[in-house]
Amino acid sequence: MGQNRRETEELSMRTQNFETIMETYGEDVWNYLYIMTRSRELADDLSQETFIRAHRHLASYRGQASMKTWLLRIARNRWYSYRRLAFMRLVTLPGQLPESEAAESAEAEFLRSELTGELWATVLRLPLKYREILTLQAHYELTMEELSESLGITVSAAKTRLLRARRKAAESWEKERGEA
Amino acid sequence: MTKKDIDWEKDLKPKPFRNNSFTPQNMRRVEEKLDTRPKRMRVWRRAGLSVLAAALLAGIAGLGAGGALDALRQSPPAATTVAPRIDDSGASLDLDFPLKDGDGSGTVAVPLTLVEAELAIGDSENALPPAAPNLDFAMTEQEASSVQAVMAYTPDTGEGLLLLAPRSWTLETAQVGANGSQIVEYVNPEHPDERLSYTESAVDGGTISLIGTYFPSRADWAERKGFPPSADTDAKPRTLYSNENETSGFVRYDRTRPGDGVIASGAAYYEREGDVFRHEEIALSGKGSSAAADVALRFFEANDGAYRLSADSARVTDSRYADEKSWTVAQNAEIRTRLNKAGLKLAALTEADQAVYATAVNGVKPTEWVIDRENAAGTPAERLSVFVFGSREEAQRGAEAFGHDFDASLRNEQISDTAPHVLTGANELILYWSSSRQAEPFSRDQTVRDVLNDLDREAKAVGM
Repeated sequence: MGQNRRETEELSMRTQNFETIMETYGEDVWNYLYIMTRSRELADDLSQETFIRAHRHLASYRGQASMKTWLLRIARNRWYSYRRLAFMRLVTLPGQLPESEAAESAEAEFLRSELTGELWATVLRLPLKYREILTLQAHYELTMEELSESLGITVSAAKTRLLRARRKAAESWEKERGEA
Repeated sequence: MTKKDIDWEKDLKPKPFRNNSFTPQNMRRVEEKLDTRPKRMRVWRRAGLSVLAAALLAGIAGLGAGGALDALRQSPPAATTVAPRIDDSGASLDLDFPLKDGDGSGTVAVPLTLVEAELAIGDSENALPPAAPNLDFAMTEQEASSVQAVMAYTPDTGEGLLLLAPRSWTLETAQVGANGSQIVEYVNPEHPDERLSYTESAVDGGTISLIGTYFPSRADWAERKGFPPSADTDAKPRTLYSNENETSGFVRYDRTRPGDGVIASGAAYYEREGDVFRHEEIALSGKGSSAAADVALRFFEANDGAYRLSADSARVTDSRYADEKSWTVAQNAEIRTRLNKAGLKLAALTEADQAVYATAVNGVKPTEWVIDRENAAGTPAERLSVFVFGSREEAQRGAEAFGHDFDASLRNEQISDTAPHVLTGANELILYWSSSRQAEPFSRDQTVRDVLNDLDREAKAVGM
């Protein structure tokens, strides 16, 4: 991330109103959250929470990361906070958390009509930590250092996880093609 | 495309979905939520009582003879309002009150929040909070359902106050001033103009002026003393009485506005010996909270102010606690004190904190603490969830129950960040939450074990 780009974004952040920020990055944030949650309802709720949180902390944004990376980091925190709560609900109300068949069917229909490529379908079927790192690196173009920072792991661990994610995704891809 | 020719950056570069799902409706919802978010910390913008409260904290004695309230209105707030720290990670406790109109044996439960008041000066010494008291203030079930209780204690002395407030209102301030004066404030998050302000002071000049202000028969006396009362003529007494020598008195009053009716109800109590002045006012913009306000002010009248909680009540031994809940509070305080002495620097969750784990295990709810929050160096601070059970055996069963549920729930997607170390000793179960972001995850394992082992040895020594 170049210094000029950071300064440009910082300046941009000061001058753009918040609506413009949502227009610019809303789709990225929502897509990331869908890939993480595999639920449109959750992606809706968490993306709204992400921008509310971002609005509250805009003044503290200093441009160390790009606006997009900063927002994705907030989105990730929102998702993990939700997971903790979901975990608590799971303990409290066994059997309540799994989605209904109707909800699963609605999600399948959404994917059938909206997915732009079969490789994305494969990625979405990966375990969370693999689909996350693969998406952040390949689609959102985070560097190894940014991945390390965002995921809270070392650069070395990020490289290892990315390699495993690619291997796992490639195996799934071939297997699915073979079965097709 | 085969395994060998997948170009990840290229093949996953296109956006995953054809249409943008972050719709204008999503944006509108964000904007609506931002618009409706209640504004916090408005207290000091208000004239009158809030400014009065600030000055009480700063010390009223030096105001001179110019009229206390007039002088206060000229003064900027001398103390910063900060969010209180809430122990017990929320309202996991209830406080029992006698049931009014019953046969004398029934009780009604009111949710209780335990708050460590902020000190204007000095550092917290982690005194034990007071034990939950046995109260004789009776109320009906309907009244109980309209209010909540707050126990605000001072961390340097362990003394505390107990107040009632409308059930849905949120705690905004709990402070102890340099002169020992105290402030507790609640606000209605739906209508931020509705708020409860409780203040109490024991400063000579300021209390004389305030006594003269709220007790007309004492106005001349206050004037002669050189502390003239304020010209606060809005407060219309509903009930007013004092003892024979007028060395103590109580007033219940309303403030009304033409067309709006009652816009605030309040009560004040004074004792000339000790220069005590206690005051509570509840501002109302509708009738929604008026019944709860009446209960809160009757509680004030019954106790000559807030209910007093002495430090001694925190130091009694287990068997002398009135009930299981107060015993739990004390046990939590005890283990917190010991862990702090061992260097963990535990802090209660603030309103901004998300509890890691707040689910009951075998019917026991946890208390969550943050370890060494200020030195977390950008990484998520570690947490402890403490469960106090009735016995060592129950604590062991709790650990097994937690492990079983936790393993089952995370079987599919194990995330190391959310797996705690499970530690038990005496009648306590502690979940220690660390993170792979920590330079040394779970580095306090041994410290926590040592404290639990000490408790275990002591419990065995007394046959528990």
